[in-house]
Amino acid sequence: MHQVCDVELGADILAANRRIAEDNTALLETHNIKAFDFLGAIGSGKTLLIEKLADILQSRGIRCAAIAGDVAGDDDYRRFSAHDMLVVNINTGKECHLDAHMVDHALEKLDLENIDVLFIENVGNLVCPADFPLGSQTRITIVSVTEGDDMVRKHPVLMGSSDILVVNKIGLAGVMEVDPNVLSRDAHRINPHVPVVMTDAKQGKGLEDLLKVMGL
Amino acid sequence: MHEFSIITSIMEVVKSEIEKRNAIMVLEIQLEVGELSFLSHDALQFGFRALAENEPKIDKVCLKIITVSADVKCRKCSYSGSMKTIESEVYHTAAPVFQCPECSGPIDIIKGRECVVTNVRMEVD
Ligand SMILES: Nc1nc2c(ncn2[C@@H]2O[C@H](COP(=O)(O)OP(=O)(O)OP(=O)(O)O)[C@@H](O)[C@H]2O)c(=O)[nH]1
Ligand SMILES: [Mg+2]
Ligand SMILES: [Zn+2]
Ligand SMILES: [Zn+2]
Repeated sequence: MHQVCDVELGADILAANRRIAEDNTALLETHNIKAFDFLGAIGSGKTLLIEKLADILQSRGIRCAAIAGDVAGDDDYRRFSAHDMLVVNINTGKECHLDAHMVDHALEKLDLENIDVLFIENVGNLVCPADFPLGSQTRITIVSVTEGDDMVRKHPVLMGSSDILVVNKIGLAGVMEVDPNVLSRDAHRINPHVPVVMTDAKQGKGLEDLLKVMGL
Repeated sequence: MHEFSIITSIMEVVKSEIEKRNAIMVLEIQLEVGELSFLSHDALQFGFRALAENEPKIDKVCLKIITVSADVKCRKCSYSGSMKTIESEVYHTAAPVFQCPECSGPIDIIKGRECVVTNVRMEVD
């Protein structure tokens, strides 16, 4: 006779990633590295912002490194490399986000003794990276005015997973007829505690404010 | 967006259970998905049906997804419990508010981001 049985499992599918992320955090902390991961829509200005921030920090003698996450290619890797940083490229291939395991391998390739600040650029994607913590201490989400003023309210939960929100390309707000304050107001309705910084990476605006909220 | 890789992991968990118990058929898989995760139930079901197609021991309509509501804990006062939400036509659903419903302080999320296979019902000899 066949019988039916219930097997209680409690197998957490996301737990493996979380555990590796915790290991990454511990490793970074052992080496006194402050790590920031940048996520945001495609083309919102993640790479340019990191490039500009790294220039300022390096001029102050703070040693920067970057992990460039892209679906394919090495464009962002090359851009970071031009700034005298240690850089590791990760191609995610089919995956739409970085995960902690990929970052773990990237960390193996970096000389952690000689890094003060690590930037991790996630794949351009506003949806799923939030399910995969990487082990950085601070998560920064970037939206830009060129994506319209509804970007934040279309992704309410992401606002709750971000430690800092950057509204970039504010120099283009006029032409786009987008009020950056709408993005900031929407973010604060969802996450009243999230610091919002307005930047224009191209013109170098707001970068000092951003470094301040990053604690640098 | 990554539902397919999530489903692949779920399949591995279930298949190893089938092997362990020498099961004849899996009748139901219970999956708890936190409301703050970014997993789409439709995409999970779609991926599941596609993969179960090739698994003679897994009924392809047996994935039961249960939404787990979020719980938070305040960093300032002693509040712990459900989140405040705002209802507004600009949001498609009620949007969660990441602040303490009692004192408006900052919160930590205790529950609501998980994706857990809680139970597998199977037919065994
Ligand atoms: N006008 C203006 N252009 C900007 C600004 N920030 C970035 N850009 C431009 O926008 C384009 C995309 O910028 P990236 O830094 O490559 O954006 P990204 O988010 O890294 O893009 P992906 O990695 O492809 O997702 C580039 O042409 C940048 O020069 C800004 O603040 N103002
Ligand atoms: Mg980039
Ligand atoms: Zn993904
Ligand atoms: Zn409180």
